[in-house]
Amino acid sequence: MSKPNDLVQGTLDLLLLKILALEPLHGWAISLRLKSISGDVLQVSEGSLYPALHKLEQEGWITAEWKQTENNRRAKFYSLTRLGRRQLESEAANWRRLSSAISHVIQLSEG
Amino acid sequence: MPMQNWWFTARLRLRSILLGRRVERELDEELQFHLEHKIEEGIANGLSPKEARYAAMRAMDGLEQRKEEMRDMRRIHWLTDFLDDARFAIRSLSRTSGLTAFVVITLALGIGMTSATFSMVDALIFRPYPVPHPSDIVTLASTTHDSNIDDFSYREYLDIRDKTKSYDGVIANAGMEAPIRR
Repeated sequence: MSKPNDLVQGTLDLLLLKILALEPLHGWAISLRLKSISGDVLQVSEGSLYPALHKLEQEGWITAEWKQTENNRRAKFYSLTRLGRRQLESEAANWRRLSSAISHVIQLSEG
Repeated sequence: MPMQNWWFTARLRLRSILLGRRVERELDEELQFHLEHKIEEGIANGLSPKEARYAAMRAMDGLEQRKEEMRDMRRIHWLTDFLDDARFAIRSLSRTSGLTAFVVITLALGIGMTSATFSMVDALIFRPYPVPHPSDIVTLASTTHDSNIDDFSYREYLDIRDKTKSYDGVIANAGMEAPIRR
């Protein structure tokens, strides 16, 4: 049986871009936000989160900046770039196309 | 890689190269920050500090490996590897300093002698004289019964110099073994 929190391949980028489109966050806050927005359905392990963030940064879709948190700790905040916004739009459109196609298929009545 | 983001990538890669240690430190700091929050979360959920710490460490397990992946993502391994190799070479050479000195001196002398010879040949043969119209310069030689090429005497030179109409000017040079009598 597959675990419910297994992310579909390639959707992590989309989720991270979307979360960062709402506001700049550091890694820890991103993982909390992902859990809370998805009602605890989606969880990402540290082992996937940070490499994914660094990959997005390398692609120029997000940019990182060291800032103070509310409790005066230094943390690396990620925010969306203009390129990242464009990437988010195209990936979101892709996802909608794909998911509606899949819903169509699984709603086919049998017999 | 799409053209549009080359600027971001180049900037980040340059940063990884020039500020390698700082980039590493920031990576550690970022993960440390995460670990501490994870421990605090564990404590808030009723774990003892020690248990919370273990749980957090377990969750972050394999992070060292992930760090290596993140380093790969910066794609500067070819450079850092090259620098490591260079350092290793320098260390090995300094261990056998006598041999190293011998080889270096041999190479230096060899290169020096070869390049001196070639620059002399280049200046004397391959390049025209450093004067206007170098093709107008001729060498005068005298002939005798015994030899096709002979030297002029000083008086002959003076005659040629003073009487000539064919040349703009005449100069002479004398070999060491032909002292000039005044």
